[in-house]
Amino acid sequence: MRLLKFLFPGIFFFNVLFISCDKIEPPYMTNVEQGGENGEVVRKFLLEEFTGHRCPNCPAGSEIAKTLKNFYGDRLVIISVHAGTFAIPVNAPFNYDFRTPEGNALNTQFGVTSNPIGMLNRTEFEGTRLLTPASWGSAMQAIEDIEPGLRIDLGITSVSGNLYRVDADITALKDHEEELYLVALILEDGIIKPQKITHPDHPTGEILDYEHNHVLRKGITNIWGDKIIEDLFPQGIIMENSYTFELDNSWVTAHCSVVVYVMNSNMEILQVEKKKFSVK
Amino acid sequence: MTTKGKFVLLTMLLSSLFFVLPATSQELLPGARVWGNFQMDAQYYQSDTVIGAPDVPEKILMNAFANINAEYRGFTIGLRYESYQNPLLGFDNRYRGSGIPYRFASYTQENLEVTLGNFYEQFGNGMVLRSYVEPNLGLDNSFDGIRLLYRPVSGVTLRTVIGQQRFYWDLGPGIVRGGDAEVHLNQAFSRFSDAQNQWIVGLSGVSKFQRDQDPIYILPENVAAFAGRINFTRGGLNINSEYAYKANDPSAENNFIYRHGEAFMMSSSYSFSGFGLLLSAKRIDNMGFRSSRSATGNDLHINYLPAMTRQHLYSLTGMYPYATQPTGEMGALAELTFRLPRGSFAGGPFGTTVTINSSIANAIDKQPLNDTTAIGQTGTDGYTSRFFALGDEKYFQDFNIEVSRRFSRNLRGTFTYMNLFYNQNVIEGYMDKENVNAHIFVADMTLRLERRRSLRWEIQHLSTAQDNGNWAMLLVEYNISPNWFFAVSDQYNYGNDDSDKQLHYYTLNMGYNKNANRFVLGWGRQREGIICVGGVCRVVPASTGFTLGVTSSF
Repeated sequence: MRLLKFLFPGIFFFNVLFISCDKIEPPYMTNVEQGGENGEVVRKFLLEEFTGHRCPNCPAGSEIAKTLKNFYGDRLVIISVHAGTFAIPVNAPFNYDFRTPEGNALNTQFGVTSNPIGMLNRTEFEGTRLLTPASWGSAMQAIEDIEPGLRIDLGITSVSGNLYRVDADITALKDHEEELYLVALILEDGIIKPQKITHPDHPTGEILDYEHNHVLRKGITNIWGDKIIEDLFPQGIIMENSYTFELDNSWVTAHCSVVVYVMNSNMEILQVEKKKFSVK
Repeated sequence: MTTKGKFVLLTMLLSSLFFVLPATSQELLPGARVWGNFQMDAQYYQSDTVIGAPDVPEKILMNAFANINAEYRGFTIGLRYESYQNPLLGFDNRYRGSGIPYRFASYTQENLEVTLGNFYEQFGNGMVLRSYVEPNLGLDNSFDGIRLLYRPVSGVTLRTVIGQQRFYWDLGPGIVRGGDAEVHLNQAFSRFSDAQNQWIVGLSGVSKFQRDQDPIYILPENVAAFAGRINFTRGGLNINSEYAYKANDPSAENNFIYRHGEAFMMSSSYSFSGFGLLLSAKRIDNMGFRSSRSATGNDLHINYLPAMTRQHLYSLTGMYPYATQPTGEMGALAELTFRLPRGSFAGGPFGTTVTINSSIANAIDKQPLNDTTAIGQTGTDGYTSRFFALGDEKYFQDFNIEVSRRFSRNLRGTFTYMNLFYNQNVIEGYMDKENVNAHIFVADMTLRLERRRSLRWEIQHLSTAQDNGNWAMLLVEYNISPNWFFAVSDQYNYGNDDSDKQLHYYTLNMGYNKNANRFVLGWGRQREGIICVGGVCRVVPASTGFTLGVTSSF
């Protein structure tokens, strides 16, 4: 035991004196201008950001989403889901309502109780699907090397007036042996409406002309999707899907886009694509 | 089979040696000891939309756990089985399921204690490291790894730990390494052994490692924290103080700022017969320390920031409890206890004990780094702060007086007055709630009856113009010592501005104790609220239904 008298203090001091610490010097953030994709098919990210116009911390969350969008470009698709307590309309100027049946269903299904919070491809990161904004980037890094199993090609054509058709061709890049569901949604960008905010630049706690982007407007399909594959989807096969839908008169067509994603029975997003409406 | 699975199997096999055949084991292993405990809390939920109780599809939810430990000649093994079928409302759903999240083996030989597997540990006051379990909060940040404790000479204790922390049924992503040295100077140096002044000093260092996977932030993968402490005792006087420093640790909790963290606490007490005085103060600045940058709530805390407010036990005095703010707070507490002698005018024939307690928690001073950076802006150093300067915002204030008096041989009572200020936005995370100012009165009377019976009743009242308005409460409890109790209570929110919410929250409870076993059966309404233990809190949603609690130990 005499050895212990020296050995243990040795272990102890090794642990304490050589305790590791990384001191980071400014700038603390990397250059985030990476741009879009290069035509190669990649596994894309769907960030479902749960938010509300009365959620004062949500603009900071949206800023992080915007930074990530700058970094990942088209590889990242964002949907702002206005649902829950902070999305409930109250007195003017917060009397408008961005809630949708689809957003409310997602909010309930995934047990969202706080905002801002988000899901990334609905995959778990560090044991949870619901991620605070600060961990969105790390979660993307953790899954960014996953090979894409599907490719989605979208086309939007005008049928008449506000009536449109979206063609969503799903190509299997590898064999899939599971149920697959397709979900199609309409988003709108550039909506100028009041937003609560916590920031010293806005001592009133409000921005009256806040620009809301990626706002979930409507489901073209059911939010739980149309089952497009029962059990087998062999590599190389293309599944063609078409949906006709109507845009609301109050929406600005040029600001609208269609998002289509494919998920499995665990509701994990396998691939996502976004297409803006082209207005002549 | 995984390494973890093998370890569990081995532990269970070893355990069976001790307790499957207890009589035999005692005979085979004289001196072997087996001990443990069991707790189960179950609730049958009834629909009650009036109080906003969420729908529970399972109808019945249950949390349960059992600890089983065995010891033989310095060798100890133990495990805890937990079952959440499914977790009770208010507990994180990630606990759903059953399993053995805690198992360990340890032995002690020649002043060296070695623990393999799960363990709890605390360095000093816990400001750089404390792992503990608190089932009522759904909190368990135990380590899974190695712990060594060594006492090379009398009065000197060295500890070192390395491991990952429990994260529901998994482990957190960070690896925590730490060491602590504590020296009781009077024991370590024989010439001071008879001195009246007793000194204990300690030093701690803890570091966590977590990979940087972030595409935007340049994150420190290793974050260290250090602390130094001193404890002085002389007669009835005790002074305990600790300072902790943490290096840059951007995380979800601090909005990814790179400022260092620091914490200071000082607690002093002085007591002699019939008199006690406690004075405490603390300052916390960006001192949240977790083994995952993205962790929030009660997940993966490495350290513990001591609460410096009184923990109230009555329903209405505990309605607005304070939760420690790791991003920054300054707080102080003073408590004076004295006894008015029996036979005096003020003390009455049986004596009276008076406790006066006051505590306050305030924001720390925070100034912007420059004209273009907001305070706490992500990806910056956050802010500057003067150590002794107070911030503008008050978080919490509590002034209370408690008088305990025996009126006769059979009747005694405790009377409490509390004046409260509660910043709901900061403490509960809202933005548009009013600060609560409340006056609370409690009378708690106990009448001893014949044949070991007693009757206890509480009358409580909370008056406030904010939040849900005034509350009144009555509780009556009949005890048949030592086995039975029956209680009925009602909390009435008669002052709610919304007449539809002027509701009664009534409960019926009965309990039976027999030796080390306790059964409690109840029915009633639970109002939505917060429970806190030591400044760490959990939200309790509203519910109605039957409850069953069983605790047992052996």
